[in-house]
Amino acid sequence: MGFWTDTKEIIDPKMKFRFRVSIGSSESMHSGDDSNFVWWYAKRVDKPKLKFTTANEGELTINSLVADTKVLTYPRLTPITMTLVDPVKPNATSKLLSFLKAAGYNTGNFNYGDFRKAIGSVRIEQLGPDGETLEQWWLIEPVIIDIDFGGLDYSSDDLLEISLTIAYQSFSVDGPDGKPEIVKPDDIMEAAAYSQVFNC
Amino acid sequence: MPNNFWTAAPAQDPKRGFRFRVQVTGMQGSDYLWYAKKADKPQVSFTEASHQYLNHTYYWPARTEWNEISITFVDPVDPDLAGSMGDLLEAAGYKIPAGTNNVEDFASMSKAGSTDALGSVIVEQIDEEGNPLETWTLNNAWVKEVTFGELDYSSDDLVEMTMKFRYDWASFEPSAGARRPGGPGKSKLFAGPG
Repeated sequence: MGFWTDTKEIIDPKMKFRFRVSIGSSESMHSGDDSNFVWWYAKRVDKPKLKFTTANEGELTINSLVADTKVLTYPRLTPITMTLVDPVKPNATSKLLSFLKAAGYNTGNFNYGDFRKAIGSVRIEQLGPDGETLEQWWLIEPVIIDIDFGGLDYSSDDLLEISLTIAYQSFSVDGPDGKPEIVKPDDIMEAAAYSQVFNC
Repeated sequence: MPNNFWTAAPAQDPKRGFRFRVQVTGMQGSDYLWYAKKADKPQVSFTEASHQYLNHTYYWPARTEWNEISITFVDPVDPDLAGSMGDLLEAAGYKIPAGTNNVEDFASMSKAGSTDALGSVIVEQIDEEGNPLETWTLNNAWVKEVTFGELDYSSDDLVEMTMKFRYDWASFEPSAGARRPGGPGKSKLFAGPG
């Protein structure tokens, strides 16, 4: 059993600063060609969040031995937020605006499908101390639902930050090497095989 | 026991604090700044993560930080160090407030401008014959602070100026054939890509 005092095999716990975010073509990222999709200018990002709501919130069960029985509904996936800085090259602001343009925002004919297609896939990797991937989180059908292009302030030395909120329909998780191969998000969507999403 | 123990006939001096030279190519090209008085070598530190369990605390090394270094100069008048430092700041992009009519009026300091103006900052530890024992190069260095000195009627000292440098990381090059304890070492450390 690994314990904090184990001196034979010292393993770093997962640490917050060891992560990488990639956004773009799912096919390319799965084939290992992900160099163009790593958003190295991401400053922080949430991992996916699940929230169970109680169907009987506020209801009292009279004469029950358990005073406050919870009746859970299906879990809801809470949108995640991500903060970027804008390195100019590449221009993060332009990148985000290009998603809107690809969806027809400029022409007044905004198309959700094209917006989704322009974004592609979102992958969040938890990395280990040697740069190895400990786990991969794939957001399925990710869509940006909020963009905050940041604030300007003469009294600030900070880098400009851009905040994104990303909603998604589901997610899949892949573990480190040796764990089952991840099912591609697109395949999951096509087959509506949501039971396959938790591979880890 | 190694033959270079303290009691062996001395073949080479240990590294000494006064045997060094400094280059800042943006100030005086490849010439050494002979009016440097004192120089820090790079400093690196590591942040830590900790976890409490019962009354125990466990620690892990976390992120790396290269700390600022300072170099202290005296001003030999010729060359004019104060003027040279002013030139550096201007080349880095600093402009006095001049209005809002021209594009240049909105210019401010940038990393590219600052690092280009400063050039390479190199601190060399040298031996008794003047040969480099170790060469430290600050990568992407820029001037974070300039102190133009202090005047005092009661002082006989030379006026000292101090520059504080911020940099992304430092490269290290040992002298050719330098041995580490236990064996030969690499020719360069932290040299970066390429």
